[in-house]
Amino acid sequence: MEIILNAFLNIFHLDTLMALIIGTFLGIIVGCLPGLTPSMGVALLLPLTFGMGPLEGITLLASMYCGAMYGGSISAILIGIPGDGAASATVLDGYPMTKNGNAGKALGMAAIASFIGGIIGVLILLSLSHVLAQFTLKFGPAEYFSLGVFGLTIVVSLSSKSLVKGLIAGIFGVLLSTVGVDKVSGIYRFTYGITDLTSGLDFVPVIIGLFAISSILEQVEASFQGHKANYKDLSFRKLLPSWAEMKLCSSTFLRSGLLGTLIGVLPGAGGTISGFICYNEAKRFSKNSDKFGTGFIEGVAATEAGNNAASGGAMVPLMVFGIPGSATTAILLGAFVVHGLQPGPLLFIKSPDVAYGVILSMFIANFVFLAFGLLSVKPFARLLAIPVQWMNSAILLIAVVGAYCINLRVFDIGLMLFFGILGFLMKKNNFTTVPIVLGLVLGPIVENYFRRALITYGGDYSIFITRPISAALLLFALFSVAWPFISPRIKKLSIFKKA
Amino acid sequence: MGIRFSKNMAWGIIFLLFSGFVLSESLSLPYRPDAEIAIRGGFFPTILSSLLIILNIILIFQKNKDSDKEKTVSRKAIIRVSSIVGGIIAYIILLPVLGFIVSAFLFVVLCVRTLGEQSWKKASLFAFLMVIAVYVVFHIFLNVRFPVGILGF
Repeated sequence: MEIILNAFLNIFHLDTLMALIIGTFLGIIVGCLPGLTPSMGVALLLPLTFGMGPLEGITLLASMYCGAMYGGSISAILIGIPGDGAASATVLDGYPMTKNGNAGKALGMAAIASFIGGIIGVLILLSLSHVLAQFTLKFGPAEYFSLGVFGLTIVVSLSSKSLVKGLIAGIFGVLLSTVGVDKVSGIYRFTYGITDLTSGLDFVPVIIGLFAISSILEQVEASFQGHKANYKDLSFRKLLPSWAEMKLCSSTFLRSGLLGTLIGVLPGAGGTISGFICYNEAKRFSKNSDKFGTGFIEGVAATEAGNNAASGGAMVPLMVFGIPGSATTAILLGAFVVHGLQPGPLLFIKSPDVAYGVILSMFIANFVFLAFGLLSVKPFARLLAIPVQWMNSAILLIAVVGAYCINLRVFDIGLMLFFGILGFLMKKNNFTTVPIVLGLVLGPIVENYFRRALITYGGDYSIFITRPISAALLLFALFSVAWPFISPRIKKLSIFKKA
Repeated sequence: MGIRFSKNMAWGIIFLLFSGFVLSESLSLPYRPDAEIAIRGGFFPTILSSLLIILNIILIFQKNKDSDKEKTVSRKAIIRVSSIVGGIIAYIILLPVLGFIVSAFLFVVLCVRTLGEQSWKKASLFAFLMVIAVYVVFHIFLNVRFPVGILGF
């Protein structure tokens, strides 16, 4: 408790607070603009944090993540296009509300629901992470290896349409992480005399390429044009939902908050799935289920509370195990590493100020976006009218500068371009780029623990299946890969039974 | 019936060649003969590239579920995408020669024009403001040293 209190005091330093407010503000912008996803935003912002201390830097990124989760609802409600995947379900009732002339109320409810969901998510993160961290302290290399494999396979199976393609992308990512000096044997691997490769492929240019450049190229190809938003009626009074509406949604807030956090904890599920599931559950439980989809305020409340809670939940596996479950948390893991910290149970012991500081900053970020959301949502809505050519050019400039400034190497800009083109081509052929990033981030962890376990146990491979936790995790991993093959058969069976 | 050559096959073959190459490279990485197998640097990449080879063989022979809807890409789209890519390459080449401010300015002007801005005036003004903003944030606040070109800035 004392540690948490100390961390709380640390947050109230001017630098950290500034980082928090700026991060949330930028997050809302990133979330609000379709085409700028949270993962892209965090990737582009990451180079900016190099000059900061670990707490400020990671606070900036984590609060951006929180802000973006809320920001997605603004464009979903105003123009019917989700600003990010997580807000997809918000469109279902949010956009009809705008058409019915209730845009203000929908936005207000989105801010309030996001706030409540986000707070529930962070509180669960805070209480769970401490307990889980104690538990995972007992993990040996075998368990960590299996956990890494499990994290990778489940993200692959959930994020890709084609399992084989997802696995190819994931393993390709892990393979990329082996470039550079091998830490165990000390030899150079796949560097071909290029000195810029000796320390490995730098994470930042690779993710900027895979997330920012590739999606800009997609938009350029599709000749994506801007949107027009209707931003009248967005004064403070019009934003606030009535007391009766709040009461109507109170159980929805709670249900979505808890459910959303739970879904967020599962690797690979994340905000998008959480939003849809919470929406469905709210519809099932509601007395007015027939009103859902026609511009019903409870629908907005359900999805926004759900997807914001998921961001708290998604931080659990990252902070406790050091195994991220989504693209954005994978980049956050990279951010921790860049700042010389390794997420995992030891983080809570070695640098509790950062570990609890980040969690608490996410807590406060929720208040910040609530304030922005209720007091001045209009400027964000106006952003939707920025000509797309300006927006994308600005992103391209920030991308080339960001890739350069980590190591001050022009080589990294080339690296970014290479992965941008690769990501663009792969996405055109139904590969997803998320497994590559996850593979790249988890690769060193998986490899190190795998080899360390084998070396410790004299090359005996059976330790991965004789140690119970490791065996269970590997079984889960196998199951998540086999699921697409099993599930149609089970469905067939049940149909067969009915017939 | 002959085998139709699908996009998946093409990707499978490209990745297969890649992973075959990585496998042979991993096997030829140097190691001390007395060292345990897990200590050898090529150990993990060997496993990974073998897995990739298996997966790509599956991909090549997999029935194509996602109906290969050939979206025709217009010539204009190809020109737009390649100008952006070309712009980044030009930026990489020009950066050490002309320095950050000039090359970034030219780069942004090219991007804005390619992406649909008609007026040169607006494009130049926007590029100027963007470059100044980025320069202030990265150079003045964050102390990033940008390349200085032959022009001296």
